[in-house]
Amino acid sequence: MERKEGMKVDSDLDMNLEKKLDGILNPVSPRSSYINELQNRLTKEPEISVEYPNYLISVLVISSSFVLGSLLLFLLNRIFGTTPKAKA
Amino acid sequence: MDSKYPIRKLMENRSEQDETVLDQAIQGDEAAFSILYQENVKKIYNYIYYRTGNVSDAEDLTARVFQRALKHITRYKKTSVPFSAWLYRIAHNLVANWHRDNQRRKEVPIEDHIDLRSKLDIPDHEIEKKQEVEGLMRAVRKLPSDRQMVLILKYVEDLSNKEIGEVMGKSEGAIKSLYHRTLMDLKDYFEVKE
Repeated sequence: MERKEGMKVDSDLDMNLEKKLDGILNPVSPRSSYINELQNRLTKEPEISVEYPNYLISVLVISSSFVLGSLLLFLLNRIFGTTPKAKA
Repeated sequence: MDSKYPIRKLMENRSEQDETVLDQAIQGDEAAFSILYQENVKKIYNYIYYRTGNVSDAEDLTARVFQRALKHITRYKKTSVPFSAWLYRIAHNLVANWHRDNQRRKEVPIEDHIDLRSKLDIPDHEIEKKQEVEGLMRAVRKLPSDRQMVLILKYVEDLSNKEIGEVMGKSEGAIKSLYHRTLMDLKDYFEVKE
């Protein structure tokens, strides 16, 4: 059996073996969906968007809470607070 | 003069195009890498399929070969050796690791993917033929990896000894000798079996 140039083997070898190998070692085709999916995975950037925390909002919330809390304490102190009076 | 040899001219143009694509891929061009992928994916898949014997591992390892190639393509050094040789080398290493990691795993015969009818419907001579094919595949897969590679490149990819030599980094004579010894080993296997 001669498939291509230089592939001739010694005549004493069993030619049947080469025929058998030729019969079973055939090209197989991978799934086309697999080929396309892999190509997409390799060449397309993943669509990932990273969301960073908005520190300005956090600072505003904390500072406004602090101001409101202080104001509330001040008002409560004015309403219910007792100031020591010197005995006449 | 060139017009007298249109095929030669076409092949020269083709070779120049391949070189350009490879250069662009080395510079990190993903579209160029995509072309290289399309040209080589079936070859690499076939090689891995016949080395592992099952579709799922062939798909997994083929993906890893190209992921690794994409990662390292900018470090690829151009030589006279075809680009596919570099991919085969990556595939060869990954398959070797796969065999090492799965030594105790149950082997799935390569013919299992073929959708065969129930054994009851198959005539005796077909069962014998199937057993013979299975035996030959088992014998092939027991060969050293370089010999398996020679058989796969020769029969599946239909490459000449010279082309196989380029891929494997050996001379044409060395491949011829390796192929001869491989056939002798397979013949011995069947003689011992009989």
